[in-house]
Amino acid sequence: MATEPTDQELVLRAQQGDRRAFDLLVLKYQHRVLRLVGRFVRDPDQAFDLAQEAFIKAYRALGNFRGESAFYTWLYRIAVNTAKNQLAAHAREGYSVSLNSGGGDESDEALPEPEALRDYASPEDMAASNELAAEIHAAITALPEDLRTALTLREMEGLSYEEIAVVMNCPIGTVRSRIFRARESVEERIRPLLND
Amino acid sequence: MTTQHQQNAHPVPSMSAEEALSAWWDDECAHQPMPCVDRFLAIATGDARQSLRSYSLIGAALRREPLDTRDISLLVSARLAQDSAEADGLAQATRSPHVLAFPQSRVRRSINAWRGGIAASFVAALVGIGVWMMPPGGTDAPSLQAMSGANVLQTASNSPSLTATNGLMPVAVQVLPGGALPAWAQASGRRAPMNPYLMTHFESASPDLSEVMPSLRMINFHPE
Repeated sequence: MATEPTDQELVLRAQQGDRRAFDLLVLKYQHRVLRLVGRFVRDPDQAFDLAQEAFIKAYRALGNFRGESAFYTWLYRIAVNTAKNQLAAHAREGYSVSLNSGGGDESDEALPEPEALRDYASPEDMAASNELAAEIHAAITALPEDLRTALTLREMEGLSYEEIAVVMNCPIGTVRSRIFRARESVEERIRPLLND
Repeated sequence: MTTQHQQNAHPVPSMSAEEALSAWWDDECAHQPMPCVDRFLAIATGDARQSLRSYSLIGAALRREPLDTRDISLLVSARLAQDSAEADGLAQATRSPHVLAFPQSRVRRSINAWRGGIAASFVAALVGIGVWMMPPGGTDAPSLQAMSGANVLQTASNSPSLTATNGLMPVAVQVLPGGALPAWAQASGRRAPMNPYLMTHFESASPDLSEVMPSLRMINFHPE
C-alpha cells in the first residue's frame, strides 16, 4: 500500500529539511506508536522513551524512505525494532523486563491490548483522565445530531468520508465540514482541561 | 437533481487550514482540489499541536480507550534541534583555523597500503628474540647455532640493543625463507615443568595482516 499522498508530501518536505513537516507526522502518529511499543513494555515511562527513540531513528532514516509502503507501515517497523532491541539489550544486562507480549509470538497481531497506561497511572492521573473523558462525552452529547453522527461514524466505526457521505446522504465536503466542526466544538470545551 | 456521485465529484472548493488539518488527520486529503499540505502547514505549530492532540483524545474517548495526554512531539522536536545544533557546531569547528588537524599518526591506513609490506615480512621472516639463560658455572650449553636448525640465522648476538647481562645472552634469530622455527623455539611450555630455561618472544603478523603483533612463548629445557 503506497503512502497517503499528503503523508508522502510531508515526508518529502521533511527530507528536504522542513522540520515542521516531520513535527506534524509525529503529532499524527505519536499515540499509535505509543500504543504499539506499549505492547512490548509495561512501564509507561519506558514506552514513552521508546516511542521517542523510534521517531528520532525515523527522522535520521528518512532518506531511506522511498514511499513504496505507507509511511506508518515503515514507522511501525522502526518502532517494533526499537522496542525489541531495547528488550534484548536489557536482557543481556540482566534486567528483568516485564513484558506485555505473549509467548514469543513474532506476530504483532498476537500481542494483547496494552493496559499498562492504566496500571501505572497515579490516582491523580486517573482522576484527571476520567474527568477529561467525561467532559469529552458531555461535549459530544451536546453536539447537533448531524455533527455527532458524522464524528461517531468516523471515530467509532472507522468509515471513510465517502462511506459516511453515503450513509448520511450528503456530499463528501459536507461530511468533512461536519466532522471538523464537531471536533472544533469539543476541543473548545476541553481546552481548559488540557492547558496544564 | 444531481446524484451523490455528481455531488462528490465537485467537492467544496473552499476549505480552511484547520479543516484541512482535520481531513489530514483522517487521511482524507488525497482528493482535494488543492494540496492539503500547503493549507495546514500555514497553521501555527502550537495551534496545530493543540488541535491534533484534541483529535487524538476525542477519538480515544469515543472508542473507550485510555486517554494519553503525553506529547512526544515536543521532546522529539527539541532533540532533533539539539542534534542539528551539535552537527552545525562540529562542522563549524572543523572549518576553524584554531582547531588542530587530526593527527596523521592516528589516521588508519588502508589495509592495502600495508599488504605488500606485511606479506613480505610474513613470508621472509618470523623474528624471534631469544633470551638464553646461561647456566651458572660454565658455558657447557650448546651454542645457539648448534641448537638451531640449518635455516636459522643467528643475527643479533652482537646487536647493541641486545646486551648480555649476568647469566643472560640475548639472541635474535631470523627464520630464513622456506625455513621454520627451530624445535627449541616451538616447544610448548605446558609440557615442561615451570623452570623456564629459555624465554622466547616472537613477532608475527596478525591473521588479518593488519598489524604485527608480539607474542610470547616460554621454552623449557629439561636438564640432562
